[in-house]
Amino acid sequence: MQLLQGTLDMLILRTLIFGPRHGHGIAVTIQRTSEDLLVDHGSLYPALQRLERQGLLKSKWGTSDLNRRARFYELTRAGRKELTVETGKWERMVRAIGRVLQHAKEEEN
Amino acid sequence: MFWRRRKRLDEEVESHLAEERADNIARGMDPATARTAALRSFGNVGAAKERARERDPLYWLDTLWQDIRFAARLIARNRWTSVTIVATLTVGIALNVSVFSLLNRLLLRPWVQSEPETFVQVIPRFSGEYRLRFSDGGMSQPDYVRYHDSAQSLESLAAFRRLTVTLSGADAGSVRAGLISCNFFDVFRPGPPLLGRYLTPDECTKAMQPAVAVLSEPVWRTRFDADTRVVGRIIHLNRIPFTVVGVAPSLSLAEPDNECGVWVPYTMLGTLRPSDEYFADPRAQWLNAIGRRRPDHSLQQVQEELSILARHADEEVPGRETSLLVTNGSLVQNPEIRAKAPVIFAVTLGTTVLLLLLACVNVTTLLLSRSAARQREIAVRLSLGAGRFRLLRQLLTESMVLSGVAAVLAFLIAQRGPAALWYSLMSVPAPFDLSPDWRVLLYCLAVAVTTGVIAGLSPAVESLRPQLSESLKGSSTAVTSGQRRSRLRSVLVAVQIALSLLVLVQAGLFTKAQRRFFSYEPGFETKQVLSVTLASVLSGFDPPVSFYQELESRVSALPGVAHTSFASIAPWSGRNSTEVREIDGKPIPATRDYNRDPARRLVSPEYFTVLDIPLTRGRVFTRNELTSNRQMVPAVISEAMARRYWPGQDPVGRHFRISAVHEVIGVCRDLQSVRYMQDDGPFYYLPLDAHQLKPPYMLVRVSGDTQAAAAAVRDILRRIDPQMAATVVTLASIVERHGERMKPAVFYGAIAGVLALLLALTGVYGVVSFSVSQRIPEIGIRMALGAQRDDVVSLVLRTGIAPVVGGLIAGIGLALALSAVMESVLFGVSPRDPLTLIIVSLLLLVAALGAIWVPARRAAALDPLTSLRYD
Repeated sequence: MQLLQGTLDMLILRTLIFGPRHGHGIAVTIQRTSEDLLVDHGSLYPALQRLERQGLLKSKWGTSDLNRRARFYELTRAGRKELTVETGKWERMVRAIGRVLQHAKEEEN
Repeated sequence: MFWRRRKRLDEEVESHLAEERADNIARGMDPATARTAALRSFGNVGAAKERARERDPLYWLDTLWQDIRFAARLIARNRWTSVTIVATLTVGIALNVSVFSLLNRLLLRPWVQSEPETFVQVIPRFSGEYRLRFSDGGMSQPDYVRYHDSAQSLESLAAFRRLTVTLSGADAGSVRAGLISCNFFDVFRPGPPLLGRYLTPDECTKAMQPAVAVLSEPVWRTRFDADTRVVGRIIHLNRIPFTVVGVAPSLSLAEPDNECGVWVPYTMLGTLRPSDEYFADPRAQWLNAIGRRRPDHSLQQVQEELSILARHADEEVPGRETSLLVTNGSLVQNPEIRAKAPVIFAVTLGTTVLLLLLACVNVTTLLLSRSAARQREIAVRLSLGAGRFRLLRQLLTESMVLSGVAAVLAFLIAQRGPAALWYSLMSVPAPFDLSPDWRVLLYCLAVAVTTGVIAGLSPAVESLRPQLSESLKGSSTAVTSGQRRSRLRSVLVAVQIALSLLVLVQAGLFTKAQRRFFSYEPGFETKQVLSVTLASVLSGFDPPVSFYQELESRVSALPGVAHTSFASIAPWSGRNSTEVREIDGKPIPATRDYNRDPARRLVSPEYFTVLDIPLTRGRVFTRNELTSNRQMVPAVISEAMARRYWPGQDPVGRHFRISAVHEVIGVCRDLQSVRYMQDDGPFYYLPLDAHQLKPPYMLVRVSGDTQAAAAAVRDILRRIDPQMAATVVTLASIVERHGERMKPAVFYGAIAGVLALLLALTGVYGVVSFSVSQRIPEIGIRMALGAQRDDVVSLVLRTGIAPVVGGLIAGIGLALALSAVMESVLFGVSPRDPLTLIIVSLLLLVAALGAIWVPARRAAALDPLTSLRYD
């Protein structure tokens, strides 16, 4: 399943809520926890840069599990706040869309 | 900064791929394929990096650098075209920047060397009922003192007025004296005096005897042989003794021929000119005011404060309303000059801008033929997904780099160029520093950017037109693109022809104006007449009667001198108008216009013989009629005066009254003797009694060598009165000296015309040669099908000449539309002069035909077989 437009940022923020991760780790985590979402690894890095520039993330060099130098990303205070706001919005939207779809189904019956 | 982020990204992506590969191996994948799988799941690595990079705020710097490197490669590849382009643009920009430097120095910057930023000039304007004695932008001495004493926003305020005086000595002659308030040099700040000191404040309050004077460097060098012991010496100005207290460095205060040679306290006005007793008269607005503002006060604040002071001053002078203008001292801020500034800029800078445009169009055609060669490369780039805007920027960068290089070279040239330009125009070294300032730098930058865009835009846009499939297929002579391209080229040729026509018309008009100026007949003899100006008499000296008697008898006795005449005013030296009150005893209404009133000139009876002025009726006065204490003073009037007051009648024997009643005894031809090339209008001559009037002018009719006669007259003057300052020149040389001032304009116009013609011709030649080279296969086919060589020549000529004709028509239209600008500088030559337009058009047409002829012959000489195979 392809990622919905505009949701990658939210997923990245959500993934980082349990602590710093490097880029590859973020991609793997999203894929694993969602079970069937395909993340285009190539689009991850522009998104990470954007979020960092917006001040939602900060990053520093660290060592990965494989003992490799990697860039670790971490939520900032603003990032946490943004995640709450975005999650709230998303849930309201999902509920709203769900109600519309539900209604349509009932009318069909 | 940018590079670090870029490296970080590379590293991050590499580490990501390694992790993925390790994961894949852990999942049991073959190590060899694990990396490929990792790459596959990442997607397009380059594109991802590129996308990430594009988000960087400094991304444009990176691409700009790319563009510049790309442009540099292209420029290096087409070395000779690039050199041509840079050379063309350098000449164009350097000319522009140099002329702008001159205008900047002359018009936009104040005429002071040191600390120009605090310099101010105060220009009062008066309105209301109050009667002024002078109103040429000056202020009265009491007003000056008020401003000087009360203005808080000013550090200092000085006043000055120029006055022509006689400097007596071994080589008596007139110099311009600066009557100055004694703080003048504190305001002007020309640096320390070369010798001695400047004036002290008390020298402007007390009447000192003898008075003091400061010499200027040029006068000190030329008249006093740079004598270091000059301080303390007595010099005579208008025969009044002055002690030299110092020598000031050259101020180059105003136009070079207007520089003051000597400075004296302004309180000396009445001493130098006993007839001018207006020193402290509140009605006499005679002083120019310059000052220095305090650095923490703006021009605006100075103006506000002085305006309040001016209102207080007006309260004491009922009926006067003063409005003050405080400027930075530059000419362009002076209201009188500002009105003329657009014409000055249009005639000088306008020409160089036209030339630069011409150069731009030439460069455009060169770039256009180059971009045709690059059609395929650009098509490949476009089809690989390069953004059009990005490509446009890339293509524009090329022309910008070229114009940038040209601008740098031009700016280097502009360090010396303006001074050289000044020298070539004026034949004297520039009296001031002409090195470029920030305005010149800014102008150079603006010109460079505009040039780059103008020259590069149309080739760049043109190369981006989508003819992908055609170009990719590799037919370099794709028919469709070829047509649009050749249309653009035709427009460019037309533009070039139109622009160069404008420049050439201007050059032609200047030349014609100059010819007309020199060949003009003012109605009287000028070549064989010496005009003797007694400068001392003009500046107020009253010579004894014996001086005139001796002068007349000795000059008349000179070999080759036929006649002499004294005159109250010599030709082209001024006008004295008088109000006619009665005609034949009947009062007539006043004209209320100084310029419409008849002009009077008092002359000896020989005046008419000396100048060869034809008499149409009656006679001239006799020697017996010279004495002015007669009841009825006879008058010779001009035809214009006869027409004004006695239309259709014989005026001889009639009377008119000015203050005394005059009887008309003769009528003479109308002349142009007040101003060169301008009709005198109503004019009358009265007999002059040299023993009573002490005239300042004498005219001498010479047969044969005028130089020798002039030298002899000078010698006689020196013998009679060594202190008498006088000039002796032929009337014709006065015309010539004024004509000299036009020579720079004519010379400059001619150079510009030649440059314009050259640029237009190379442009036409380039375009036609290129289009011939594009059409080689077509010409081959035509010839294979039986076209003769003459047919090919006429084909090329026909297609080549069409845009030239179009350009000529457009250019003539433009020239007519712009003619109003030229009107004021042409001495009566119409800016729509048809002959000039026709000659210039023909010249351009013939020259353009020549430029087309060469490639046309080449096309005709092609071997049909080779041209068919040509691609």
